[in-house]
Amino acid sequence: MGTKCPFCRLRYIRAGAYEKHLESCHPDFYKNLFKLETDLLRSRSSSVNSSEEPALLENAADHTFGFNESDYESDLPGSEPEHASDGEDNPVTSSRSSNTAQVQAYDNAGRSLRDVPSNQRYERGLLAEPWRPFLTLDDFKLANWFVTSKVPRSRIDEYFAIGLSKSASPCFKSAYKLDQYITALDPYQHFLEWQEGTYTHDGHSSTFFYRDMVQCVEYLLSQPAYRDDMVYAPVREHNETGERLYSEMHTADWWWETQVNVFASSGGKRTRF
Amino acid sequence: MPEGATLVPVICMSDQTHLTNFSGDKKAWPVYLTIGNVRSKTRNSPSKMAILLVALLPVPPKFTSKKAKKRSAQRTANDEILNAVFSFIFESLEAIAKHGKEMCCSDGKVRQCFPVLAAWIADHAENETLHGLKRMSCAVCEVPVERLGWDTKEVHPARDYQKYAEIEERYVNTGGEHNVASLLAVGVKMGRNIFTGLLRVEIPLLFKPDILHNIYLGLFKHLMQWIEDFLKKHGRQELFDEVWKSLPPYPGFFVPKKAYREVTQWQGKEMRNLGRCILGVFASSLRSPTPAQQSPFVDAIRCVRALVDFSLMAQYRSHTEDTLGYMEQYLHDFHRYKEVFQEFRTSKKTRQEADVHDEQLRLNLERKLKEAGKIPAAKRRRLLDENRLERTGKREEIHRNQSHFNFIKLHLLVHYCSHVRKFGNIPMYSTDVGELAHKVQIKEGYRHSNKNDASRQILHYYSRVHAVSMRLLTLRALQARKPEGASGLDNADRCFLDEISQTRSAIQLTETEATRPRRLLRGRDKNINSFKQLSENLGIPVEQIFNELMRYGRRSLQNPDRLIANKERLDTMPVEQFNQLQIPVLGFQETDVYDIHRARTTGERSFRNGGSRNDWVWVALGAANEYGALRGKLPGRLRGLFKVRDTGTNGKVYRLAIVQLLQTAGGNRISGAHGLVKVFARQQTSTDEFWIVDITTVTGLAHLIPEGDGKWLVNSRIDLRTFNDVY
Repeated sequence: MGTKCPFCRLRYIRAGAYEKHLESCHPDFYKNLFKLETDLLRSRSSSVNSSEEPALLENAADHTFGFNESDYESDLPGSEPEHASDGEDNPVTSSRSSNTAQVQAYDNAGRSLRDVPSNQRYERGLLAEPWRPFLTLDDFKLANWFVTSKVPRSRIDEYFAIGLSKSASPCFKSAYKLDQYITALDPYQHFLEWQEGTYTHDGHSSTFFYRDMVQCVEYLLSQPAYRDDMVYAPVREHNETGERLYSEMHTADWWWETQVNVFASSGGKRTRF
Repeated sequence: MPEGATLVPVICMSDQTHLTNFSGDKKAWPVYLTIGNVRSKTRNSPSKMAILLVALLPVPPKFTSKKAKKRSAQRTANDEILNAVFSFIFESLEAIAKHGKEMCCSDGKVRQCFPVLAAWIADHAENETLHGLKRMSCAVCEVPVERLGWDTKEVHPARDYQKYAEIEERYVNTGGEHNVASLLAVGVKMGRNIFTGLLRVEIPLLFKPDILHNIYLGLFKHLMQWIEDFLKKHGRQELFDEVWKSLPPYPGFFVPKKAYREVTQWQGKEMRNLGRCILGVFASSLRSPTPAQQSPFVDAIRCVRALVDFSLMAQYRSHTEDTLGYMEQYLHDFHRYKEVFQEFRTSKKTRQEADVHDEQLRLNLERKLKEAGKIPAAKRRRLLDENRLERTGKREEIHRNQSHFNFIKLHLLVHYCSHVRKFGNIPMYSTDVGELAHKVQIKEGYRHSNKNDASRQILHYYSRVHAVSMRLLTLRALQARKPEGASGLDNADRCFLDEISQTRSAIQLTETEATRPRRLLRGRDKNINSFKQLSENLGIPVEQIFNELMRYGRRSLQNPDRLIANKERLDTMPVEQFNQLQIPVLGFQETDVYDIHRARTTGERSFRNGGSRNDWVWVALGAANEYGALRGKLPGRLRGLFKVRDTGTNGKVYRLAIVQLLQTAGGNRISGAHGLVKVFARQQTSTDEFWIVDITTVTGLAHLIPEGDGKWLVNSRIDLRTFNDVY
């Protein structure tokens, strides 16, 4: 199989040749890639050495989880300021709506096991280079305009062919390349791959497309865009007069009951005829 | 669940949809997925991209054969394909259902996550297909068809899909027709349920109430048919159309331009509109009944009121046991009074049957007359009369016995309250979210494909849009909450983000602007400088304005900055006139979302080529315990908006409104069956016809439905806020 270059149609079997190609033909991307790799390497070595802070924290988190006693808020010693702020972000502890007087949270849910080491770095990197893999804001603007205003591919090619973009000189010069760049935009793209299935019945074959449901769930969970709106544990809300409030999904009974239930199943095997 | 585990409720939506409007007969059957961990407002907003397309199912071919046997074979094949496809799709969920999976969450933590299918949002027909049920059967309980329209007090056994699966298994192993029969008796088809056997999934709970299809496109549609027939029977159609066409504007309400009967297409938007005004219009068109009409009118109004109130209550974002109790009460009321519409529930078949009986009786009489030969005219007349009575009696009897309210959409309302207790508010599960997703994720992609083998192109098209929008959303989120040790975005980048987000979402307040937005006066009239010009423009004598201004000054005695005025000084003060007042009104059950009410007053001039427009507004005049149900507020017609500067003292500016107030009647109580407050115009000659009030006391637009002779009904069903305030 080999590795396919994300920017052109070439395939490489050996890593060296691929790297060389990248270096010569796509120098900007190569630089970024290189940086990312060294970043990763550094992080790996640091966790092995356990001399730096993130690794320490990881161990601490593992340790407390082993005892299975503490809940999420008190899980981590407040040594790091960022964790303190995480506790505040957690909507379980701080209720948003003004009319709820009392919130009773289910303690034993949504506990974190450890930190994701790459997460912080990814976010920081994104703020430093917000439009990667596009090189400049203008490139992204152009791509965004092409996509959101639904310009057909032939028209995009035409746009470059008749030289309308002379002044800007973007990093992509065809619809095909634009696609490559856009695919590289989403770092969690691998969660959203499409699979194709066919089902044949009576010589009548039908095609269907599907994504891995679990990966879709992972994708949604890992999006920084929803971070402030996430809920990991059920609560019971009461208003000033002590009446139970039912509003969001996690304030109602089902979540709580399912969480408490050790093992619930509708049972029965899938029967095939 | 094991200790410390994180439950991830998986919410799926599916709906078959047409890709082409007039030709081609292209269909798609998408399944969407989202998770309950994201708050409902974010999850359901289309611009937040939280709804992922998870599958495009094969659309089963249309039945081609006319023969019943072949059709049933094809149906079985379709169901089998569907079942197999879903077992493919659910495979990955099943693999980790028992022990969960460690997943990275967006706050940088890893959690032991258990994705569990919690909701399947679909319209009723689709639900029946997926659950493997016969038509007219409820996915939650085993209600028999002839009990669908009965009262809520009756509890039917909940569906036990586990038991069904066991029976099926027994049948497969040992045979035995009685097994099949027992399943068919409760409306279950063999082996058709795609959810059977999923771990941790409670199948009866997957069903979600659906306001759009169930209430608006279902019950309201039926209701309108009954109302139309009812009006026809009592000769009130003209009046109804007249009231219908004279409704005042309101934010988010489309003022109907055509009479009710002239509208041909009733879709979600129109039905929503209708739900907001139907009670008032119906009540207004049934005014002053004759003694014989009194009782049916009251019952009909009560019935409509119960249904409208139920639909409004169902839209609450936050419920307590009290509100749930009200909801149950409304539903109960509806069942109590629905009898009045029963005669309009007749089906075509019943009418045909009645016609047949009628014809027979007529023929009987003719034969009898013929046999009797020559009979006296008096006797003949008596026979004819008897026959006529008999015929109408028979017809009514058939109608009464054969028409019923047993349709599935009426039954589904029973499950609303228990659903709220289990899963929270109802609007977040409405199918319109999925229908919006269709448009963006499927239909636009189809339009931009070359229509050959479109599925792949649709998927590809949307994944591009998704990637770009997701990057923008991520950046916006990061920008708002900078992670540790990161520098923010460049100025240019930030500007671009702001620009993009502004075009996408109309009014969204950021953290810093979270304080209450202020009232604004808009549309200054350039030709107005003094009170004299103002009075000419408004058609109100200067004297009266001055008197009112002085009264306004006297009313606010405790205010040190009050307007101390006499006629000479007022004459010299500079005045500016405006034609629009923007009032921010806090959204219902919200803390930071404001609706902008635009109250307009154009005086005599026309507004957008229509007639002149002087809106109804609420004016807060007294304490909350005054004016009964209106709680210290009175509706009035906005007649003028102006700003005046007191040049004499400190240059203080007063922003004032001239309002023609109405007065309440009948002890300010909610009166009659309709539960709406009646208001009257004050007499033209009285001194307090016009009031001058500060614009801060104008709290929003009011919606009044004319009842003739200077009488109006306060339409408190226009939105949830008014519904909650006026009762």
